[in-house]
Amino acid sequence: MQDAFYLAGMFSNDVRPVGAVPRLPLGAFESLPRAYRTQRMVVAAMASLVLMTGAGIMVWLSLSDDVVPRWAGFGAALAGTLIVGWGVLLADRGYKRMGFLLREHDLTFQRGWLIRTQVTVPLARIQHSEVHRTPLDRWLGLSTLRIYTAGSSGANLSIPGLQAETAHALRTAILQDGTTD
Amino acid sequence: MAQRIDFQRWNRQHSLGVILLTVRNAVRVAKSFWPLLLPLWLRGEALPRYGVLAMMGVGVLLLGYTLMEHWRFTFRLRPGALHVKSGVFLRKRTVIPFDRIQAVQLSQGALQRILGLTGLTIDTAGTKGNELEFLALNWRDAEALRNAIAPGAHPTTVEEPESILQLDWRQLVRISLAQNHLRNGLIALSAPFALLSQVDGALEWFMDWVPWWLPLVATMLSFILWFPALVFAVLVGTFASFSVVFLKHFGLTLKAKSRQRFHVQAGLLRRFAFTIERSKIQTATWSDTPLSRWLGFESLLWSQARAGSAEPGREQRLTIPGVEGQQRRTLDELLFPGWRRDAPPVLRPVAALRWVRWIPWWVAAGIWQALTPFSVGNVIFGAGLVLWGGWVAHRYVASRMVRLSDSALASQRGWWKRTTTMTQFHQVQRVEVRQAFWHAHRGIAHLILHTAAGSIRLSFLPEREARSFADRILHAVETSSEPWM
Repeated sequence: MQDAFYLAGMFSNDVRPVGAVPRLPLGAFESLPRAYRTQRMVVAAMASLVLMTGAGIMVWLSLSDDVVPRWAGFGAALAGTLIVGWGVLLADRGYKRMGFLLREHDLTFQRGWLIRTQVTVPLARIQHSEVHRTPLDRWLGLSTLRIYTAGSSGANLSIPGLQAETAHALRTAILQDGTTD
Repeated sequence: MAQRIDFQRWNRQHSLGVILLTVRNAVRVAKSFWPLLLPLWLRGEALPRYGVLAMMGVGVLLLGYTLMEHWRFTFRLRPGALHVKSGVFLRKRTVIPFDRIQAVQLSQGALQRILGLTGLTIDTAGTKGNELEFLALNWRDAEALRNAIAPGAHPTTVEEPESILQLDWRQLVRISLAQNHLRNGLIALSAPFALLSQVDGALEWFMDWVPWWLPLVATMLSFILWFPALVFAVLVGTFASFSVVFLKHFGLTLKAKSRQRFHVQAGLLRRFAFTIERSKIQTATWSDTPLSRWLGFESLLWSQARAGSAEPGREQRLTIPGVEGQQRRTLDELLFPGWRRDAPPVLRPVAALRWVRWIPWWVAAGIWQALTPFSVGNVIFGAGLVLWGGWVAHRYVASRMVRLSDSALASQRGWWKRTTTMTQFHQVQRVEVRQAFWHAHRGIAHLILHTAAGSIRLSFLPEREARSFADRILHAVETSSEPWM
């Protein structure tokens, strides 16, 4: 009897996934353009240059003068090298972990290597957005998209290193959702 | 008495407002110059002649500016918006659409009560600080204006508001008793010193004034006096608690109008009346202490958006102390329909957290054993430290939980002082999943839900549950069409 019901398609009781809500696909994030890695490296290199100049002066002073002891010079050189190495590592790893994901109703950005954060903003909650470009950005053809939600005093989500057309496309998507709601 | 102002025309505030404006401007000037003026006064020197002339000049300028400020400030109501013209040198014209208004607050300071005037503040969460402030309106006019512009105002609803809570003096005494007297006492006692330290030279002057033998005697007596001193601090603190509670919350009433708007009114010397729409309340936080639990009440804090309020500590807050069990159920039902307080907890931190939080106590006990000579008493003390730490760590972790209804969540934490923060799903405007790399290895994550007025942080959750809960919140936000700000 029961089987007949099932076969006739009059009744079904399929397994339904509990909490059937769309999941954030963790593997589908879009990475940032390679030029942004270059930009991070340039910034790290400039900082390193300043740091290494300082360390170089210390080494030179410790070798040529009695004012600065020998160990301080070598200590400065070692510390400088370590910090520069760490900065370059961060610039690379930080870039690798960055990515964004635009869905129909929200925008997600993930960043951070030691401390990883993943921020999702529903498009309907965005108050305004702006595209920001520094001279270095312009030279590499990049821009930063900043997104503001209500009650904030600074940007709540800022996606750096986007190509101009990507930034524009993201903005268009945000604006469209804002007008249809 | 009929309302006196025709809001359709350009109006000025009450002319007695000039007095209030003068006082406010004079206080502002004095505030910016007081570190200069106080030492002069303390030294007791007579002002030189040019000083008197300069002060008179400043006074005349101030009065002229104030008169102009009062004259230039005009306002009127247009359909859907409030128009204001203001400014002396820099002339401004402000238009505030009604549906952008977050909250309207009426307040009466002591001077305003003497003059029979009312201040009115409008908040829109737009730019920095308060958007617009009226200093001097007649109470009736202020109420009429409030009713015309308040969020969600409908001229057709003449429904009698439903009274939810009214504090009488007995409840105020209980609320006062449950304050932290020691803290209040220390603040009250240290306030004069904090004030003195603001003034260059004032502290030195005070030190000079103290005779040389007083510190010596005080040091000798302090061993005998520390207990009376503590009692004294608590007594001062009790007095401070009572004064603050009675001044702030005297005659507090909370009313709900058509289940959508709340009116709060309170104050002994400084009266205030506050109107807020249900949907503009971003988070509701309940808190209690063992003492207040024993006396049978909790304290409620409503957070609401204003400029910069998404950052912690910047939100607009409204405190309602002394909410009893039945009243809490009523409020929960109004704010979060279908809320069940005994809903089973769905999210808890990972169990391993209690072991991690136990580690510092072991370290402390180890240091104790290493530093003190070996004796039975010391070993017992170390063991006691470890046991106590284990218990505290367990209670800390066990007290953290999240309860849910179909549309709202409540995050509970703390076992000594308990706080429960509640929000509706659709009020979340940003979801953040955060983990350090060592957490990532162990499948642990923090989930932070940002509203327009403060955030709710759910720490050390199992990563899978944190992510699926984030998905659920996002789904709720994105499918909701309810007003959220």
